[in-house]
Amino acid sequence: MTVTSDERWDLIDKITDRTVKFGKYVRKLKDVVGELTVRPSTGIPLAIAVLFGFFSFFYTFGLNFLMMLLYPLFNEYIIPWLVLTVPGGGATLEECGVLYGILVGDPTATNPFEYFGVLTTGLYVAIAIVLPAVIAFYVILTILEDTGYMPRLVTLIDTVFHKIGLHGFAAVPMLISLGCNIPGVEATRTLETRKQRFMMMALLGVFIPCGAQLGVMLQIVPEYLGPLLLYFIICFFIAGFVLDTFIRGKSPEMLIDVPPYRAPIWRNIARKVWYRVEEFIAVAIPMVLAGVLVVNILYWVGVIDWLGTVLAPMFVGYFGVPEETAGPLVMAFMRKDVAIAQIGAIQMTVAQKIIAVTLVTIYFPCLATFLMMLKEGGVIDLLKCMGVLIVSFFVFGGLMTGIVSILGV
Amino acid sequence: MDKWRWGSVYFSVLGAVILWFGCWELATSYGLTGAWATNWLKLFPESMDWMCLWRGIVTFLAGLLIMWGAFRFSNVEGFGTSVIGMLMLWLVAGCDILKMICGSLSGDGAWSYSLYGFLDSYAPPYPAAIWLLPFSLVMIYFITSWDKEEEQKEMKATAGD
Repeated sequence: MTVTSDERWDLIDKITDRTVKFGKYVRKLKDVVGELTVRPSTGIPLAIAVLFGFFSFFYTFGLNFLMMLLYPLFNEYIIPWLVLTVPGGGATLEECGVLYGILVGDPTATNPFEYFGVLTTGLYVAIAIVLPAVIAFYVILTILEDTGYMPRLVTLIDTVFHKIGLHGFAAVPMLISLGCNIPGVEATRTLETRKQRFMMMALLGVFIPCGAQLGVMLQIVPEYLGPLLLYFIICFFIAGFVLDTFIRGKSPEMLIDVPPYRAPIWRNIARKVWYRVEEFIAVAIPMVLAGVLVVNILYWVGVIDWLGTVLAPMFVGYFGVPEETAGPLVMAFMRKDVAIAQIGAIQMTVAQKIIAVTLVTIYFPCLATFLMMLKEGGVIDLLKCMGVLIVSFFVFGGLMTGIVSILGV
Repeated sequence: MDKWRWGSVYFSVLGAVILWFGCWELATSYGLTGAWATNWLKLFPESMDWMCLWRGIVTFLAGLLIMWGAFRFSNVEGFGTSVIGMLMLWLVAGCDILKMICGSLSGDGAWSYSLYGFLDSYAPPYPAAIWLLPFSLVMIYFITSWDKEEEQKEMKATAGD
């Protein structure tokens, strides 16, 4: 069917008659609030409040509420049932069969973190810790997107990000990574140039702790989580500035359409959250379980103990953490959250705990993020990211060691 | 005095009070108020964590914006500034209320609930934003009044054309 030019214009007229309202433009309160949101004097205080709400919801709903509801399910029902049901069990780990050791782990453990089995700790961390954190995170992120606040936040912080060769849109992968680094790395596609994408991937992998890490960090050093996050943000910008200086490439200006504020439609929010969580369940949870499986096999074979022994002098001598932390730090490549949980079980001073948590965060991203970096950036960018990672590990890890010793924590 | 003048006076005073409570929370987060914070009629919780510091900063800035906007309340920008300050306060209060609700339902890591334990979660002390919430709701009246007046102005302008 062909439509003539006149018919097309008739159709346009009919649509505009029904949808466009003519009148004098009056600056309404909603417009003024929208304008004030991107003006630094009023926008920055509001951004501080919104980020407070963001984290408050994340801790209250995700970490305290959902986790507290799921903890008894695992601690009192699922794990005791697995301990009794899986064949090959014994009184201690040495008496257990290999399959039992891999699937259930240490039968003498007193809480879900200490088993280190695929079906016990693996499933507990994936479902009772990571998933609630990710759900809470995506709920609040989607609300911010659908109300129209996100583009305003992006506009507001654009100037800051320009100092390190990025632009305001870099805040999106950064915020997503606080839920899970995997979609965060995926979100770097929104950045224009290869330089920006590489920089963002490297900075996310090193300095942005994921929701699972935040959850476990909150259990180990709760009173220092705020200062630690501040430290990571400062390091993020320092490293970003250095990368921007040394990496060649363009950092173009950004043009963004800022929509008016709108009341969110809850059905749309529920649908968007579900799509994101579904993707996370499909990609990240199998990775988490596979990570525990690989680590368990490496433990049984003795590779992690060997690596721990080899690397221990460096961790003890340079960073001042106990020798036992070497194992979890090696393991952090597979599972950062489990590594932090392991660190929590080691007897350490508060200063050592802070250093160890910092090291695990700055250390290699988890295997799943690593694979996503490979997919998005290719082998060359992945190798460059590893270079950034190794340098950052020693520089910023050592810096934290110096800070806690100077402050006398 | 018209209602916008009244609004200006009311929100200037409320802004100053919110500002004071922001300072209070900042002092509490640094441990400066000590046991006095909880002993004084048992109205406020004694918390010295970083979230309390953050809450204090938000409350302080909210008070500042409300007061700043209230000085030129009949002007759209001034009113908008007060509205932004109030949104910040509501955000903090909303988070505190959600914390109470989630605390009452999560059962402290065990699925054993008692009526007393449930109701006890809603008892004072409350953070400052919750105490200030009823006084801040007056803003809803002004927001709806503003919208109505703007609508009337728009209708008059359209009729004039």
